[in-house]
Amino acid sequence: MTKRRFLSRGKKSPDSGSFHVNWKLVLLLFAGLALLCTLILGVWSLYLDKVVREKFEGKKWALPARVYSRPLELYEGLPLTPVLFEKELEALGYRSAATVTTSGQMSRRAASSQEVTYDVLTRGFDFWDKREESQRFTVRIDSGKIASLMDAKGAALPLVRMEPEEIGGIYPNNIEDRVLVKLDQLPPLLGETLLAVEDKHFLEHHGVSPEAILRAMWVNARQGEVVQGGSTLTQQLVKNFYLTSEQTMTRKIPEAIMSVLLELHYSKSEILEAYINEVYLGRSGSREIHGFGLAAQHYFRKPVHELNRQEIALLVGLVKGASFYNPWRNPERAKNRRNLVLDVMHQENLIDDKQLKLAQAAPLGLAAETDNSLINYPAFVDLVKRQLKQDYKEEDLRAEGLRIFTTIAPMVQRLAENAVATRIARLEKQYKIKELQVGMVVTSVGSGEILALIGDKNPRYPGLNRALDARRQIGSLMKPFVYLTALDQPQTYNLGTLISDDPISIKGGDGKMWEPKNADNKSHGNMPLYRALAYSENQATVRLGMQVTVKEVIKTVKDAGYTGEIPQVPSILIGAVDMSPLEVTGLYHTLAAEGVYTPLHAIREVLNAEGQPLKRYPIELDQRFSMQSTFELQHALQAVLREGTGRSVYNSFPESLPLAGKTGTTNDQRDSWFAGFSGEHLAVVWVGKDDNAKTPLSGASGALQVWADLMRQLPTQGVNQQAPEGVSFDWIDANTGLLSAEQCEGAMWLPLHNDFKPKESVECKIKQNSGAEHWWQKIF
Amino acid sequence: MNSFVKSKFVKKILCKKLLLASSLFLMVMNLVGCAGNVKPEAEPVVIEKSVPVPTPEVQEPAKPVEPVIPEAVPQTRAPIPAASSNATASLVSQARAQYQAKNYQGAIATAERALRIDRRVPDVYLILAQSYIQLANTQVALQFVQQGIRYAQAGTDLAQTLMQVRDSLQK
Repeated sequence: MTKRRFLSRGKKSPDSGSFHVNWKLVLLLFAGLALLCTLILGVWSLYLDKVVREKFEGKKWALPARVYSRPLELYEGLPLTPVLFEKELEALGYRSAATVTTSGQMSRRAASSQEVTYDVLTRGFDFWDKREESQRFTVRIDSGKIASLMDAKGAALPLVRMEPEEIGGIYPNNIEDRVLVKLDQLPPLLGETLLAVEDKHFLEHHGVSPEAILRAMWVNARQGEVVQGGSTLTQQLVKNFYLTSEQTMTRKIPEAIMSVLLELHYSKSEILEAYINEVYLGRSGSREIHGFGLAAQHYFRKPVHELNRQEIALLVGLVKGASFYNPWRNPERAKNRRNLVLDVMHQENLIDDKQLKLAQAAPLGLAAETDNSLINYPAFVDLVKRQLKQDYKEEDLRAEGLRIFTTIAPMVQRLAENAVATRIARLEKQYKIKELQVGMVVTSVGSGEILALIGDKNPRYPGLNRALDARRQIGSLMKPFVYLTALDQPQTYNLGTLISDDPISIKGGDGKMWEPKNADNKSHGNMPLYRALAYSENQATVRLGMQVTVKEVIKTVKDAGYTGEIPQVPSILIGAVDMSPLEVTGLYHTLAAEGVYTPLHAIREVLNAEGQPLKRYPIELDQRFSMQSTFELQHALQAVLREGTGRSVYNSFPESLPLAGKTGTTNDQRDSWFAGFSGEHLAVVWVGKDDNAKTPLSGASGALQVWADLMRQLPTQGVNQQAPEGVSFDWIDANTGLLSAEQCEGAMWLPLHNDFKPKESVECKIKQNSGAEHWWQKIF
Repeated sequence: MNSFVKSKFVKKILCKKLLLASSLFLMVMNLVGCAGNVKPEAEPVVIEKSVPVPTPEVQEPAKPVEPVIPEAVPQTRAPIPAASSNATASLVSQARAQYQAKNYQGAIATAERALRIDRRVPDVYLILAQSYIQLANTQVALQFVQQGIRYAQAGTDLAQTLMQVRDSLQK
């Protein structure tokens, strides 16, 4: 019966009693489901809310550390040429103008190629110690130096500190890069245009615009695929900031919720500020360009507040598709897009008819496309990273937005790169050799700051950094330390002291005899110390080294700043020690700085992302050798270039510029070295092959040539000629080492320790042919 | 002044701080409906760890050191008057002012700028030495004062001052 009733109920209209029971069940089910949904939705929303707030309130982006060069300091008397100054301005993105009206502009008036006057309006910059405000100045460069420096009113300025050049960053593997811009730094026109083009109702909506969504849905439904987004600016931000860029319906839902949540928690200005920094605007190699701050740098090499109308229009136009509208690759397409944006600006009354016309007619005005390398000076930045890693964790460098102020002088670096690239190519051609390589370091004398560093003959190639990592025998570069050891005993040695250059043989620890030979395989009898050094005689140097002892020579090298191990064997006296160009530079800096040891450094200051100083790397000094002995040694090192192994350089240098240095060549000419300095700059060059093979180059024919190419171009000042207290010049007889006089044969003009001058004089034989002047007579 | 914030437009934004009622929030959620367990495809849950960065160096005046530090500095020039003397003189007086204001790190940084321009100006070394004394770093101070003596013209007031500082440091 029951069964029948049931069946009949199935066929007929439902029985009211049993229907009532099921309806209840269904209702209950629905209620339960709704509750579950709301619960899930609630929990999910809470979770999304947490996501939205956590990322927005914390540090929004991982910011790579930015590395800056030294700022150029201009002052009256600074050695500088118009060419170098203009290169510097160009690298900083200064534009030439007839009259200077806005920051980042310069104008030029040339009286001759030597004398040029510039008006410059700087941009201002936040240094670690203070902000340098934007400032207008006039500088006149004449005959290789700054002749005058004045402010806008014509009053003399003691000093102008320019902005530093940004030379690179320390990037994470996934390279998303940006320069943060605060909303109040954004030009109003850029903000207004962005909203006019991307989200007209930004001020009114609450994160989503149902009207826009409906329109998009209609279009998408008709097309059968997602072709249009009804996204507000807030949604775009959510999409890029929190979600992946994949366009699916399932993503649209959290996007909408999160957009509303974002608007709930934050003001329109906070959202807009995040947007202008998040938006993707291009790519340079593996580096993604995000935000308008970096985009302005990338496309126009200027800060965002200097953008003009058409530049603003182009950047806003790129939001739609930075790759599609890439102005370098698709200039026509980009220009059309830009002009479309300009039309919108005009419709919205942001620009008037005349401005529209002018802007639409203007060229794109792009800066030259930078090469894809992330870092302009890879060898130097490599050194900076190594020094930073001693104080910072890798992830801090990649994410904390540190600002690293370094010592590199791009002006010097560019000259050095040029010298290396052209000279190495020339040497390869001239000597028909392949695969020569090079390492080079340039420092300022005194501060120990590294101004330039090159690790490869192709200086922009970020491979093996030979300046730091190629450790080679230094050969004769060791010799000055043998002579310095002797000169530090003024009661026994001076530059005129005679030393025998006869063959010498020394019994080694293994019982074998060591017999060093001179480069020309000849012996030169007795010779004054300075000449033995200038001509780099091995036999005389080893003899002198044995007299002062190997142990003392090693001590001298260590006092000069070497921290590695040196075996206590006689062969080190002529350079059987491996060092990198950077290590050699450290040692020679002590010689160049008159005996004062200063650790070489590449970093001045580190600031955090907010511009607060974190760490300074102050200049340190330590007097290691007396002024007297180093002055004497410098005199002998000048003789290297005036009359010794490096004399070829004065074919192309003015006689009036005193320079000092030492050549170095190792066995079979595997390494060609030169270390030399002026009063302001020290440069060390190594040339050789990576596999340590033989080359046809001596120190003088290889490394010295690179060095001379740099020094010829570099405005600098000569080595100090003023003797320190306790030292005075006198005439010494080359054959006896006794006092002599100006007109006597064999007389040499040498600096001598006052307390230890020779007591006796030689019998003077008046010179027959007065001949050419000696180099020392020309510079005094 | 030409800033975006100052424009009338942003003023409008700033005034319009939105306080949406939670009802609006719920409304939207209901509108969205029970659309299933869609998760954000990115993984934004990851809380970015704030990596500790070394704290800024404190400009600590430290314990004052015994020795007499003459405050008035005779403005004697280096034996070799450099062409850059205007620049260094301006930096020296700037560093001196920072020193008087007890900003010793600032004085050191400014003196270093002068040193980079011309390392033969003895006044610079005196400021460096005095600043390091104030920072209780007598070892470094001694190095700078010796360097100053090296470049000061013998018999000048500056040389005398430098030697006084050295002697007091060596005691």
